[in-house]
Amino acid sequence: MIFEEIYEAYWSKIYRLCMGYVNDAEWAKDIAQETFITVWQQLPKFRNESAIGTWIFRIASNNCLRQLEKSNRMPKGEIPVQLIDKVEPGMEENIRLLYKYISELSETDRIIILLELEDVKQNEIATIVGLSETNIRVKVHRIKEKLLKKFKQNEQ
Amino acid sequence: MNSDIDLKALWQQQPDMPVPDKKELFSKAAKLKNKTRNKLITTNVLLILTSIFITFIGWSYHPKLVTTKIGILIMVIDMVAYLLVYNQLIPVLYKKDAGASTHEYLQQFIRIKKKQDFLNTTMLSIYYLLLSAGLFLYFIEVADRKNMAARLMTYAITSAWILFSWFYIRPRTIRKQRAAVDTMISKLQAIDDQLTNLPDDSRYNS
Repeated sequence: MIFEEIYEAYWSKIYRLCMGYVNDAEWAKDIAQETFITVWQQLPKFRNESAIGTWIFRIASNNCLRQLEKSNRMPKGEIPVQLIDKVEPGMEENIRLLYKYISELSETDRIIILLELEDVKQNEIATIVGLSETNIRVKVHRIKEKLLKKFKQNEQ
Repeated sequence: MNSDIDLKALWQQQPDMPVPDKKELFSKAAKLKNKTRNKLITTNVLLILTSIFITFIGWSYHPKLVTTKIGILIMVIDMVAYLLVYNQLIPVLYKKDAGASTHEYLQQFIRIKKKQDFLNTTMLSIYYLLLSAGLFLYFIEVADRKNMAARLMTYAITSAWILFSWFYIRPRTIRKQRAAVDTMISKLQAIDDQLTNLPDDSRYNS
């Protein structure tokens, strides 16, 4: 697979993952770009040991975790302008809340739930994160419960 | 709002984001690469130049005492040794496997940070110790050529510098660098623990 195709196919997914992790549009763009720089540099070394998607998601997740080094950078909590324009009326608020609630989770929970929401299979999430599939299933279940609880509390 | 909200469906409703121009990506890649490389090159060049400078000064001074020569040698060896350890970080930094699983990646990261910690503390102390010893030996001859008052003065200034760097500059540098690296290590460890610590309750474990 050539880099250009990967870039076009995965940009949105990776950007959303990063956006969900930091909840800041500019910062997310930086992380997503750094991810594709690594993909571009290491693509010749990629040996098809795992699916390309799994590999890219791994790089992105690790890049998100590396943001610890830039802890002085504070998220603005704004969702991208382009996104607001296109979202169906009424959904905007829910998506904004979802981003907010995800950003309040612990680091690894954020990564796990974002991969799940991107429709990555749970056995793939397991290889991305380095846990067993059972563990991932339990974690996804708990995180979803946590998020739904926050939505419920917001309703009241 | 419905409380049985389908999170995945909600997430998937987001439209695709416009893909930024690839050119932007490549110019950024060049910048990032240069940043890491520049820091490594600066440290190497700076210490090598200092070593050459010290050797050159010592040489042109025609030292007669063996202590002077040993002093110069110690200082140069000191800087070279520091660089040798420092440069061991290069392959580690470049070989970091970005495509490793989160758990492996965190472990790699912690290893790198521990290496930096060693460099910042143990190696830095050794560096200052040898530098002070070298400086002291070097100044024996310098002081020897002067009258009593000037000799005392030279010893006093040299000792003052050695004490100042050992008791003030060294601990300060160590404290500053260590605080940053230690915070990173404990944060990384905490994240790794999030992965390995599952709640005891195994209701969903089937």
